Amino acid sequence: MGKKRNRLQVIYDILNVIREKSGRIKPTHILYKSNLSYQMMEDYLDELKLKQFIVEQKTKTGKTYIITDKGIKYIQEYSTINNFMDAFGLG
Amino acid sequence: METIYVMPNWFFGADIILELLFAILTLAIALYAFKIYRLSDQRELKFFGISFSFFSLSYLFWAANNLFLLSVLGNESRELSLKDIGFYNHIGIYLYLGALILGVVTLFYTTLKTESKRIYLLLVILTATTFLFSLNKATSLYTVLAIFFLFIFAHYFRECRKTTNKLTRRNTLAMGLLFLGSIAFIYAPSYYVNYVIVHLLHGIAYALLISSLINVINKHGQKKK
Repeated sequence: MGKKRNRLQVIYDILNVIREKSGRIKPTHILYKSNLSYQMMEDYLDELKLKQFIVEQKTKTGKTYIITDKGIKYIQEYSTINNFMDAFGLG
Repeated sequence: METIYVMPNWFFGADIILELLFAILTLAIALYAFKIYRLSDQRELKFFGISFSFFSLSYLFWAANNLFLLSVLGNESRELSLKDIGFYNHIGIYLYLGALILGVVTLFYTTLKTESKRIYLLLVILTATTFLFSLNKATSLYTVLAIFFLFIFAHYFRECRKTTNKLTRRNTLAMGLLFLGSIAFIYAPSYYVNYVIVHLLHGIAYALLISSLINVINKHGQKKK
């Protein structure tokens, strides 16, 4: 089993899953790909919506999550964010 | 005892330059923390940035106090004391100590990883009370701040043991030096050599912190190329 993921890594993984699916994904796919419990995934998605990394869209077939520009920027700058937080004991 | 600290005459001038330099370095760390906060929305980064902004402000007020409010004690030393200056000049000292308290408490609060604003408020009020109602104001306050720095150092030490990152080790050492500096400051109202030691320890600590920051920025630059 690999090293326990920190919050930053989990956020990165969720956003990356959405981006790899052309920026739009259903929650069941996130659950499958992100390796989280349902409750934890819901908590993370609420946080990501609040921070405007993703937006939720309700369709006839259920909910869809779309990554925003801010979410894409997070993925691009993830290593810098992680380096800074790790170095300064904030991770 | 209303003496905040005593310092040797020969160090006057050099200390002000160092304090201004520390103000710039801490501001640089704060600004970069805010930049990373804008990208990630992680609240720890916001509080870390706020804490270093307060440190920067406290160094600015410290330098201003040294420039305008010191009393000469014979040929050897000068002191910053509440008793020798007018009431309005007390404001300068309160601003310096207020910013220092907020900086240390905010940094400690960041390491707690709690979202309770009441805990933050309680810590600020308790620390400020120590200064306002103590007969031996400076020593009491510096002792409380040293205890905060001990807990901050302990946090960094734990983080350091969890990772192999060299920068975390470097910053843990920096926090250790800031802790030692806060111990030295406890005796700064009585021994002027401690005032010099504090500046020396802070100088090494900020050199370590800023070298870590430069390392992070360089890695960021290399990634962009």
